[in-house]
Amino acid sequence: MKSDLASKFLIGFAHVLRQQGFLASADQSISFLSATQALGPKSLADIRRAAQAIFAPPPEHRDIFNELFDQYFLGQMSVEKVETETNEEATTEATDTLPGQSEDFSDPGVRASTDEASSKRVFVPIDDTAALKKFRRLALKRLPERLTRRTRSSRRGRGLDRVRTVKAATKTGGELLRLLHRKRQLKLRPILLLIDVSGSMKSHTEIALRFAHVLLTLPTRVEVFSLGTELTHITPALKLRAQVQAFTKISELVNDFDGGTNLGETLGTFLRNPRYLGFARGALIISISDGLEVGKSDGLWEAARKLYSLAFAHIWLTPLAKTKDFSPQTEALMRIEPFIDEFGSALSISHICAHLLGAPVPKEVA
Amino acid sequence: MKVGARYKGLGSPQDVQEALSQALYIASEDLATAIYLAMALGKPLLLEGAPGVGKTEAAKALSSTLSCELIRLQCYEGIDANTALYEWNFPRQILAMRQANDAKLNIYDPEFLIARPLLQALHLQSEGLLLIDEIDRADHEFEAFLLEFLSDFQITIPERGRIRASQRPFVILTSNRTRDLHEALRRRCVYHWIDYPSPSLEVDIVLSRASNVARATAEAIVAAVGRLRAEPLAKAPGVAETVEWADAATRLKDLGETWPEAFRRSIGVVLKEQDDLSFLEPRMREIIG
Repeated sequence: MKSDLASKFLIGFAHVLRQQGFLASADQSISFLSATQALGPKSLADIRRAAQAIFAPPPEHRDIFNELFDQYFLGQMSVEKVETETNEEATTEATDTLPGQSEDFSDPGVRASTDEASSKRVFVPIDDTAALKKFRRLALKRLPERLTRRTRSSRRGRGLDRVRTVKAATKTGGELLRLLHRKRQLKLRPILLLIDVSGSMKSHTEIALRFAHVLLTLPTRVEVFSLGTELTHITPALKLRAQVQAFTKISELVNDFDGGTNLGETLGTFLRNPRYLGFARGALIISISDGLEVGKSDGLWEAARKLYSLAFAHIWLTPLAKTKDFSPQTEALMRIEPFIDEFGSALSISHICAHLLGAPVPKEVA
Repeated sequence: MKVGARYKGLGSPQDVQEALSQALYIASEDLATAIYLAMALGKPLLLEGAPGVGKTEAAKALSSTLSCELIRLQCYEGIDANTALYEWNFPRQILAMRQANDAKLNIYDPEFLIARPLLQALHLQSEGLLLIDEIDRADHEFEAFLLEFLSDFQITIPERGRIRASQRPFVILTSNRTRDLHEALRRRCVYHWIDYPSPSLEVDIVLSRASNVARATAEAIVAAVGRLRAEPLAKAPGVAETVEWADAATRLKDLGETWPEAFRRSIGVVLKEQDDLSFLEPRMREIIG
């Protein structure tokens, strides 16, 4: 009886974790019980170690995890409360993620500056436009690709398909009369999308986010960050298939909608994180921003230079590009021009898609 | 629950910690607990951490502690079943076919099979440790395949049928976290994030790993590395680099170099990015101490 209560109490912690967006499946709860039992436990530290080993909190959220642990195990949260919350959770947990993708919202990025006022935004999602549908259809053929190290059977190719060649040779007494080949597969390059959510981009932020939501459906690694006065990693939220849910999550995550612009500092924060830096390596970087930087643009210049050295290509889409032969006029954009491969228009989704697909630019701009 | 008979002498995290220290690996209490739990629960151990914090070394030390064979699978993008599981010995198959003429020959006999790390691990008759290194470098397809392998410890070779492990090896996966691993894989493992060690622990590691390094040198190097890690560098130095720096500086000192100069001249062992070097150049004296 006593042990039943203890087990119930331990499993209650898994419920708390789940409510807070941590990974805590049923089999992990069972493993947590076994792990705690295996350690004795002699002290609360043993239970904490067991919890950390089984529930695998990401290192950047270990503090939050420990805080929850303390709150729960040091008596500030009761089992009854957890049970009530769990029942409520069952009704609200109907999230719809893409198969095989993460639901981890616990990685909202890094705050670049707290000086600027922060604000939230409520989105009213709209159905996909024809341009987005077209983009999804053509992106596989038009976006830049790279050769992977995986190979597939092919009529021609530099590698020999040894399995099929030997199989064919069994019919000819071991004589290799026909050589069959393999060639390396092509795959879309990884994409890094940087979206400026500052006040000057207010009327274009939603366009960019809707585009990002479609981009996430492509069969390649896509990472999306919002930039303003803070850097926020919004990829996990965008992975929610339903646009309403994705945008609701984004409005919860992003604290600097319609605030000031500090691109240099936020990009600097991005580049100082080795993990984020890896997202830019060899990737197609798409920045959607008007480049209206507050103050000096030295930080932005340095960040653009670094991104240029890492990326496959850096495309800067700005709503200021109203003509086909756009050339930057703002001080910040003029300075970083040598490090940008292409400038294009971000006036609407049609413009963004058309530019990336290399299709003719919509009439209103041409 | 006690650790099974397979891991005799490792009945608690403290036992694991002591055993590892005999293999010159100084493990934190948290790491020792994670290893102990992985053994006790019969689950794979997933070690994540920045490059050079000692993830692979932990596996090597553990195999030496358990006196068992270490089978290592180094992951990379595009790794496939041929590299990880098995491959047919094609030249032998062709030669055998030619020699056999009209005689009956099974070209899918085990003698033509080349076992790669995962199959080798299944064939182990005694204790074994399977190290799947840098899993984050492999692509998602391979990760999904691995999930299946790790849950059942069996594989199917189309020409030969199912092969099941006679004895499950202890599995350690490492990741530098250049990308997030799939949740399904993470939740099947016992997890531990290896962080940079505390200064005192790092001094002990340097003294046990590097040759002929004085304690004062180790302390100075560890303090300098601590200052470097606080800087916004493209690549923060790992523990392996700390050990190498202590070793390199001591060698230069033995050749007659003075102390701060020996540290400065061997900085290339610890900082390997031109951007980092030029960024720190004006404050190098202050950082080295």
